[in-house]
Amino acid sequence: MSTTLKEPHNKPAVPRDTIRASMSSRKKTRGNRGGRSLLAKGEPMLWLTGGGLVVAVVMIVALMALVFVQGLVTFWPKHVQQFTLKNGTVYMGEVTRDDTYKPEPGIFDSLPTQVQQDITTNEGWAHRELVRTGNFDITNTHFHWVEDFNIESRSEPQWATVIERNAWGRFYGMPKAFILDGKTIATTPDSAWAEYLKYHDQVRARWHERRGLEKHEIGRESRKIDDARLELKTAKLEHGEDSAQYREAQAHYDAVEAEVNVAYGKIREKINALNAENDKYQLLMVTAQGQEKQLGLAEVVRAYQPNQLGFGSKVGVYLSRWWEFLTDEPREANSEGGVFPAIFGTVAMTLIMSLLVVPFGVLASLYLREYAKAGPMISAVRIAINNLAGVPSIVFGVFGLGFFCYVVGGTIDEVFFKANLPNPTFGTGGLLWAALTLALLTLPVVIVSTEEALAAVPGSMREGSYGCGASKWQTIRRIVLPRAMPGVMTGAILAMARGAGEVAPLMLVGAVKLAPELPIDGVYPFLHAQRSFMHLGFHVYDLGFQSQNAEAAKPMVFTTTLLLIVIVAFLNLFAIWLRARLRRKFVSSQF
Amino acid sequence: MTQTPQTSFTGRRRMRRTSKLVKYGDMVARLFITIGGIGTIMAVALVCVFLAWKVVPLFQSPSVESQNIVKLDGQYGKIIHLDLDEFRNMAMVAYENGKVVTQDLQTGKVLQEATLDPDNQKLTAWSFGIGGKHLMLGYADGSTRIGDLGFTVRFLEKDKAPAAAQHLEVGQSTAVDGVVYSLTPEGQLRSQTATLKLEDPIRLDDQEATPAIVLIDHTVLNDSPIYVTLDNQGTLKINSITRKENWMTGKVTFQVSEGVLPYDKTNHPDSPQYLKVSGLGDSVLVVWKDGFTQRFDCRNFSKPVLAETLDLTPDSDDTVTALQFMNGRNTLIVGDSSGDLSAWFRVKPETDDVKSSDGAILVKGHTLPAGTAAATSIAVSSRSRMIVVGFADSSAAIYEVTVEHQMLRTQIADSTLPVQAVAMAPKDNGLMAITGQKIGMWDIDPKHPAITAGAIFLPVWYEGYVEPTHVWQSSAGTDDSEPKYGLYPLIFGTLKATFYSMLFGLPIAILAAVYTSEFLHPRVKAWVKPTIELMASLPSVVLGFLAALVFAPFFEKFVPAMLACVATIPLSFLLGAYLWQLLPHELAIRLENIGDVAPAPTEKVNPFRMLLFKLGGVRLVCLFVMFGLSLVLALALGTPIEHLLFAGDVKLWLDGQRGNGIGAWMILLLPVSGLGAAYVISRVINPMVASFGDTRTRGKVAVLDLVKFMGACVITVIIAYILSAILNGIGWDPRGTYVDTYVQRNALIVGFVMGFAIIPIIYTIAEDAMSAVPVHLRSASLGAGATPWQTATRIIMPTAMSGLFSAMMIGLGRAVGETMIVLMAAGNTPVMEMNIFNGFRTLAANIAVELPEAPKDGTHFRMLFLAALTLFAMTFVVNTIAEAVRLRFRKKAVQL
Repeated sequence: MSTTLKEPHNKPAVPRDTIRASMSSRKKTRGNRGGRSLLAKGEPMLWLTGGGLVVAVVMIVALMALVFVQGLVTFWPKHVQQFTLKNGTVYMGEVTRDDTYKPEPGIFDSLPTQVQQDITTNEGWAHRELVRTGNFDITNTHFHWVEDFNIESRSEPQWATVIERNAWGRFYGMPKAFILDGKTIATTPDSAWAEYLKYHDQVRARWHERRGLEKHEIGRESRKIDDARLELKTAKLEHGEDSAQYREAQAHYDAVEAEVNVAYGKIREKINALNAENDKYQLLMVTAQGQEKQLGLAEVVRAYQPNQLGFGSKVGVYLSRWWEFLTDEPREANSEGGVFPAIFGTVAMTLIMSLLVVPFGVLASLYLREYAKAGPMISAVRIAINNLAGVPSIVFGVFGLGFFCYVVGGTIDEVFFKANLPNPTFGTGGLLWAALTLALLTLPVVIVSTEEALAAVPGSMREGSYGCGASKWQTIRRIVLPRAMPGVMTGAILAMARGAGEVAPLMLVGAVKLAPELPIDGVYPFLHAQRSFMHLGFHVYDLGFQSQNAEAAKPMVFTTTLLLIVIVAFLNLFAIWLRARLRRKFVSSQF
Repeated sequence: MTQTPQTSFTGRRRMRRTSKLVKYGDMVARLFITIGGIGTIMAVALVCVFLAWKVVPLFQSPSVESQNIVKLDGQYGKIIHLDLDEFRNMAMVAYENGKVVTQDLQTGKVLQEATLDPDNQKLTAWSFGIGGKHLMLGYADGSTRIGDLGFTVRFLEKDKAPAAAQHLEVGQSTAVDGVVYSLTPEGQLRSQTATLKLEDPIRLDDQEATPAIVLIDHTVLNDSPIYVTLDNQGTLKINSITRKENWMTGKVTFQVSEGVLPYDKTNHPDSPQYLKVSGLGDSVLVVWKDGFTQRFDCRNFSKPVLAETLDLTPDSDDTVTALQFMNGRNTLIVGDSSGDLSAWFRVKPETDDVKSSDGAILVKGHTLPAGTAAATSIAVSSRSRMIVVGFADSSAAIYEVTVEHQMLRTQIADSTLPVQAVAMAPKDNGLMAITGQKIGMWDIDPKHPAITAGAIFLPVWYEGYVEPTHVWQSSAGTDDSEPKYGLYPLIFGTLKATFYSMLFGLPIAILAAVYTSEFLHPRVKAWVKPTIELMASLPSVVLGFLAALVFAPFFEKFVPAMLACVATIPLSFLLGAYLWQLLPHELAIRLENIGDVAPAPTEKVNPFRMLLFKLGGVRLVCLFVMFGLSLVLALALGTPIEHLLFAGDVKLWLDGQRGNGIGAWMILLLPVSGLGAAYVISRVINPMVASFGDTRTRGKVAVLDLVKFMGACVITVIIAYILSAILNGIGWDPRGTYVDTYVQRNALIVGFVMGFAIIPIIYTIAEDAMSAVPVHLRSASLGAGATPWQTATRIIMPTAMSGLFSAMMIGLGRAVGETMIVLMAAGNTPVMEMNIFNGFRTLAANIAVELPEAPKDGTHFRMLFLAALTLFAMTFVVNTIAEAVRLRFRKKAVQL
């Protein structure tokens, strides 16, 4: 092959460059001085083909670079700038991006002549910056456009503080005082900040404790009462309202309710105590516009002064945000916080999917390759399976919703979860149905890959095995399958990669923007296959497309995208590596 | 296989028997794998079958289940209104003397009686609301009255019900004291009563003796009725009532504003037969018996004007025998004495020759299949576009108006009398008709009335549209709007997305594949190919997100530069090639091979040489450089182009606000004339250059070649411009067709990003196909003296052609079904425009958007399944062709 890639440059002095040249009726001259050979090389077309490759490669590299850069810089703490505009307005915040735009004619006319001239010389384009000013609870907006021609001055105040909060988005301001138990104990920025640093960790620890109580303890109690209610309803459905069973269930329900109410009271008490303790710690902030705002320390997720931070501290903030991103739950309508539930959902769904798809895919390919009699029927089946790999994923989603959720799930609900009706248990989108749908979607991948691997096992090995007296199944189990295993694995991993990145069908069969509970947790039966779940791909769609605060969500989309790409690329590279290994092994096994 | 005969050909006997475990294990494995394998394959087949199974009911015809006839009680003259409750237990009949009788439909017993004329004013005119229970009455003393007539449903505790209702079975009902009790499937006890509530009479002018009202019609707009009246002196008035309730005293007062319609009775001295007011009260129709109609524009209440006159039975002398507005009071159903039925609605054509004051005309939108006798009575559904019509031969029929489909026809048994009144059950599941003394009652299941094959794939004339069109508009805002299930806009959107993405992706993918397989250094190929392959598994949601949030705003800013890119990128590469040719031959060869020698390990590695080594030669480096240059060039050309062709602002220009059509023609003609030039060059000029080159040096030919290229570029632009100017001069401005108003999320973005998504697939398969061409063919060709380019175009590509085709088809299949990218980047408006700068909605995106909201097993739900099935069929066909071609290719490749 490599011979083709070298230009045939060392040609004899009198070449017959092209067939056409030799066919030509013109005198086959000694005077041929190579001019015609230039055309024969087709240099322009060759460059055009090369251009195609370059365009493709550049686009891919640029796209990946875009996602990587944007995804990686998201969490880097930016400096906070304070803009004083010519009309006296003050904005303080992080510059998220800048932009050139054409001012509206009305606005343009109202500008000073000097500015108008500048803009006109710039062909009508003016420059502006988008400043994330936060303080949504005060200003009702997260962002402000600041036009260059409006800026009087800009500065980077030393004590400008970025506060990430549980709600209302970021807060930008300067620390003014620290209030402990109603008493102001610090009145300068640095002393207030010192107090903040002193107390923040313990306050947050209490906050986490409180949230744990709310989530787990109260959850456990309400599960108890839900179970009792279901038992009651089941008793009513099965035995009627006049039966002894119903009365028994009613008594049980009443007992549980009383018990739970007591427990509720105790938990509530604990929570109130924690809240009361946390409420003592307040940080008084002042915004750039001079407005004061008291913030409870419990509300503050993270706070720092970016303009004072050294490189090391910036890295610290950066890593702490990554850690939060990977391990925590989302807040602020998914535009802040972490994506742990989405990662968890993606992984859980993909694993269940591969548990489903691999055995069935292997069964089908074993049947096709080892047991079925080759003939037009099997060829047709094979074509159909190859075809299925090209059927749009959304079609599988439609099938999944119609068949798995409504038909199968609906039937399961009718039979096993009657008490819960009309609320669906399995009769709606959920983890299991999503996994099944994607299993169906990725089945062709596994079948094709496994079949290839089975076909690659040399016939001689099978014959050898038979010759030694092994039965067909023994041969398959001991000789064929182990040889084909890397191929099966490749198929499985490719299926996982495709499954992990697929979103369209999941929108129909169970991915949601915010799932209250993880599909796998510590509560019996541990795997809740009927629960809807979060998914990284769907998260990207939801954040990028349906978010209320799209501008603030944008960096998060890039980070989530980066994470998704990394997962999918990792799975794919693993498959490629495995395939290479398989090939090597396979070459050595041909004797 | 272990069951061998006693003697084998070696003559020895088997020494051992196969262990039972092995034998049975083998059998079990065989059984398990066969069942599992076939089962899995069946499961896959299930997808298609299931989709079809969900779709089939869409096309089922409606069914009539039973006929139940009870005797009509009493005889109080003409029936003016017929209604039945939503559980089809009771019939309510109103007579012209004002009597309202409610009868049990099971037993025929009279449940309740009431009157519409409590003060004995003599009822002379009436108007009953559709679906709602609102009514309006006119009396001989000139007063009017508004009221409510309908059924009230209540749910009770069992012990509070009368004894007879205590032990009902589910589905049974019993009547006690005019109240019907029944048990719901949920076990609740339900009671139903007929209720009539009349307000005090409204008298206009505060006069004692106002003329008797002959005709009345009303509509309710924002809770306040608008009504028109005709009195026996021929005065036609439109009034609006504002109801005011004094919150202190609870006393209700009505404020009436009125206008007089200047109706013209010179040609028609007799009194009009029908009076109808449209849903918004902005249009009033006065209809005479022979179909002559005057329509009034009442947008200005105090001064209504005659908008148009027309004939509702245009081509015949038939008289109008039944007239009714459909739900929403926009479409008028006209039945005439020969049984013909038609539907009329107002449209606003954009042409200037409409003379009516409101710019609208009433047109006959639908002609329904005719009945066998005069239409006597029409009732409309309150939740769909179905109507029921009673005929003079005691038959009744249900029609779906939008699709002009007669759903079913039925006959009241043993009767030949005309149908006096018909009614449709509120849930569209029952039909009632009265002839003579019989009330006929049928349970019907309309299935999916709005769906016929024609309605899906052919243009349908929807209410308010100027002409029959394809529309997809499933999410009706209100009950009275027509759901529009034309699948064609979605198929069009799918094809549009596919077309633009193939236009962008296919050339790049194929060119890249050719270069990779034929010219790229193997060392470079080793990393380029996996990189591009890896992109095939890039989640499409990522591309969609980038398209919508990064590329779309970016493109919007640089539209002219982006258009310029289309020209500058290929031209830069070509220019690079022609310049390259100018290099002395020896130098070119040296440059090409400079990176080919690996730096010796001991050598101090020059990073530039290392790069060259990695890139496998200078040419690839030059390609990258030229690509960069072309982008810079495009950016630089953006503003001049905008000024030259697009009148300085491309968006305003696209909008048609300024400039002329030359730029638009240029967009189309530049590539066309470019291709033309390329054709002329390859067929005419190149042979000339070649024969010129026979006796000249390379250098001279290279210069000539460059001149040829430059000349071709200039001539192309000139020809394109001249043609554009001519076409523009003729007056053809293509703005409004393939270029039109710029929308941020548009086909160009989708084409670019989806092209990006399909490049890796096409590239991989095409490259594999070309690499799979047997090496001896290549060697033979090169050995015979062909250049690599000649080998590639004349040997490799023809041999691999079926593989290339299959690659294209598989790319096509992927583009057709791609969901996330179009969902996020295409704007999702189901419009049918060729405009490259506008969005669209594809089948796949439509499913993703609408299926989560569609009620299970409803018409919409099943239509989305049909969309999925269509998508399935489209990709299946495309993939099967690709697969068949690929198999043929493989067979051919084996033969070689």
